[in-house]
Amino acid sequence: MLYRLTLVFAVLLMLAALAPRTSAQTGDPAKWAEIQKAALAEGGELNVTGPPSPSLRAALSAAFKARHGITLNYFADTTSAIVARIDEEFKANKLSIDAHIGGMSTCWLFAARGQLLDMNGKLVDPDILKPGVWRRGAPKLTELSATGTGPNDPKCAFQTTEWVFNSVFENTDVVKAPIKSWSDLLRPEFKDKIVSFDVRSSGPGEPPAAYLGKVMGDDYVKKLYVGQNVKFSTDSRQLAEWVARGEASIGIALVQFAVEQYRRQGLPIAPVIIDDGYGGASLTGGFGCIMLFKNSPHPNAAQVFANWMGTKEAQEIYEKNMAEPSLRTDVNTGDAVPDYVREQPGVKYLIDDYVYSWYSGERAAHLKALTAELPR
Amino acid sequence: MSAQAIEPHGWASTPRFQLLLGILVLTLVAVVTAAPVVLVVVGALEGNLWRSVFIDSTINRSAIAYSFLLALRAPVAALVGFLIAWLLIRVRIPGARFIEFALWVTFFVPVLPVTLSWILLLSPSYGLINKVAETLPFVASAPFNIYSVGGILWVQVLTSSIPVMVVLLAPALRQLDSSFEEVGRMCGAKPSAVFRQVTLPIVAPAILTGALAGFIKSLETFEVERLLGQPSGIWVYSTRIYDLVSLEPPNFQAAMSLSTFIMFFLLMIAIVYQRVSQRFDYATILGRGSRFEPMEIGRWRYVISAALFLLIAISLVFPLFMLIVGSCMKLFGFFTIAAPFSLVHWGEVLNDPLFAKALRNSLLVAGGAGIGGVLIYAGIAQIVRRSRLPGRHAIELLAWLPWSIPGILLGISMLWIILTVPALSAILYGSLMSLVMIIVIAQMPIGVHMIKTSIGQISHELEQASRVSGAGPFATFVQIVLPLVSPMLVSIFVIVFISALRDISTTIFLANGNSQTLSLLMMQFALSSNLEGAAVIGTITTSIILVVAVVARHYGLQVFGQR
Repeated sequence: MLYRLTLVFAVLLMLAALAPRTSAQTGDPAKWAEIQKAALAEGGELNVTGPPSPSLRAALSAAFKARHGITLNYFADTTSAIVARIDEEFKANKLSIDAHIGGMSTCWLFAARGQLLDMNGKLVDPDILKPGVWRRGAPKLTELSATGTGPNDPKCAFQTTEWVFNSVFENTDVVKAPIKSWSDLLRPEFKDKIVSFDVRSSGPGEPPAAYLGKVMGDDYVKKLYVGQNVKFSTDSRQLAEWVARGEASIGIALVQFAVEQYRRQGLPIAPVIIDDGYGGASLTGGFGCIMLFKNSPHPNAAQVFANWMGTKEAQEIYEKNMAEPSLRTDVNTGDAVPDYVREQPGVKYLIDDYVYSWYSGERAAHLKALTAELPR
Repeated sequence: MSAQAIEPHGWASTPRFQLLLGILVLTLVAVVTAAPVVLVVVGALEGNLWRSVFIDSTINRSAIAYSFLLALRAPVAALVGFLIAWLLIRVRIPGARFIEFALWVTFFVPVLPVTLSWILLLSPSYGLINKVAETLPFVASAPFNIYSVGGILWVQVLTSSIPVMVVLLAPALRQLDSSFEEVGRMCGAKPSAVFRQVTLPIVAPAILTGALAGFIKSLETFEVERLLGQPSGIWVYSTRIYDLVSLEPPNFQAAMSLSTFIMFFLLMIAIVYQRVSQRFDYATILGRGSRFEPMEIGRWRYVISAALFLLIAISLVFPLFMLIVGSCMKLFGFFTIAAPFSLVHWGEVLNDPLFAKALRNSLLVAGGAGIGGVLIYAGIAQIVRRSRLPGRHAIELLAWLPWSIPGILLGISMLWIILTVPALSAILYGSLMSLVMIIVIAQMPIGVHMIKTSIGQISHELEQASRVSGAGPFATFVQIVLPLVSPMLVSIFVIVFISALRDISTTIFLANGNSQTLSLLMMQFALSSNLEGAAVIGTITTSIILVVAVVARHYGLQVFGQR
């Protein structure tokens, strides 16, 4: 008897270990209906902070109102300003924001301060929990910290997008010899001709620098950023324009929403995909993570919003406006998302930038090694 | 002529009333100006990051040095601005009214598209002027580099430093009683001698105040330095503050530590200014009226007029053209792409459901701050300048404080105060009133000190006549003082209105989903790399400003009984 019980327990443990890191969520029509009703009873309003995209704000607000009858007050700002505001509101116990759309670095910041609700059990809309809806088999809930990665450990965000941060671009009129390896970026012709989002600031400058630290080593990163005298900016549009105009030959940490407006007009700026065996870039979720705050003024409306953000309707809006591929299998907005950010079949990506152990450990160490070499 | 305090009559003259009034005004001014500064100092002390901020950081040290280097443009611009204002107002110059108005407008055009326009012209790799210059046989490489100290100075001086000085100094010159200059001319002095020996010393307080205000504000300017300085490794104080508060999480304590240096510096120069300004004390508005005939300078007037029209063409016409054209382009500044022009971005902005609300909010905030600010500043200025209330010198110093910290730190400090005080939180948080309040506080230095300078130009005999005729202090202030300083009040109203319309950094923390303004909407477009959408809002904002400037200049003065 004891042997059988032990065996059953062992099997259960194995199953738990083999389960995907996406948390088990179960659809509950009755609870879903109850939450929607409670959300309307809260005043039919919801306050959300998110990326500063006017088109995303307008489209999400209109569609959410039409679908659930709840007014979505979307407040867009820089992430740092949102973090500061929410922090102060929490300290004064006067939180006005219900949910946030953003990246995982922000999520872990909120989570470390105990400001986020556990997302386990928050997704109850049966429609978004049907089999086959999600690329990873189930909605991806992201771990709160490195210590708890099991399905029932607390999760701090519902990650709705995942894509490849291929962030190196070249001016095709200026760069004549093809760039086939990372070492090619060290060619003398590129000295003073490479630009990057500033790696000393929070933002898109960090992931490529950390990726190169992991794949090529910190010495290479130093040779690239310091030796090639990389010019920094914290303005994504300015970086893309420098490359598009040929003022810079190479741009690192350029983001698709800035680059694509130049590519669409036929300007000579193109992605550089390095075949280094790992896809040449890390995976990221971009801004596509939904977080819910503790003690928010409209908790039920916030939960309705989180569930709605997992629907095909919301994901199509998000993907189209942010050019970040959805994790849903049935969302395809065509040209809105450039191919170079889509996962390529057969490629084993080495790094998922949205794994806490990488983010807080090795990634931080590589960035520290690089920034120590730059003026501060 | 030295400053004389007006003796109040009746109950207003009792020492107890004066003491109470002094304490009340001092407390109010202290709360709204010193409280945010104290919070910043406390934050800096708590952080104890002095070593890392001032010694370990080479960028910060360099930023402070560059800030002071670039701020030196302010005194130069004050003198040039004064010279232009004098030429426009006291000398007969063809087109003077148009030129003065154009300089007002120059100051109001949004900085971002203007800077981008200059990049298109002076970029070392693709700038149009450089490309033309390189075709010349004796030019080997691009002669101009916009990404340099010279480039930053060029854009700032042309688009901001000189125009704002004309806006601020023109009212002081308009208030100048012509008899001073007439006496000089009757004694046989040439116009240049009258200018140097009569006009210049009389309006010295206004120039000094304007130069000081320009110097302090130039330490805070941000957009031009970020766009033009960062690529060539030129950091300034304001861009470093931006970097620190843009981190995740924002490093407010380091930003506060860095700002204490400027705070200390500002306090020192404010004290020196207070001492120095007491030496210059000339009443220029006398009881005889101040009508004057502009000086004749012969054929030189055409030369000067042509030079000023050229200045307008460079500093206004071209940037305004680029702003409007840029808003109608698929990609700002790309003229060579196929079908470069499109109205799609106008459609995006005008169809944005937030646009109408943001426009309404902006007009309410700007109008409220403009009217409320002018009345509050005038009241404080009158107390500082004319009363014997205890603490008036402290009030004068306190009125400089809002400029001692960057706008973004002022904003976060006000957020702390509002969230911490339950009564304020319930009434103000997220409301348009909180935005009006922060703008009024943020613009207090220029408002109080320029109006104070203007009140100082009024001869005491005018107020004394009013009091002798039986009017009380308040009636004298409303019926005599305000109409006489109305040119300055109109200038300050327009400056506050425009500051409110353009402000992002101080209001960002106090606005919410329902109280967003046009400038915050413009920031959203700019941050999402939609510069063309931002240019559309910039064009709309400039149009509003033009209308307000015209109305304020033409009707504002009539309201106060002046033309």
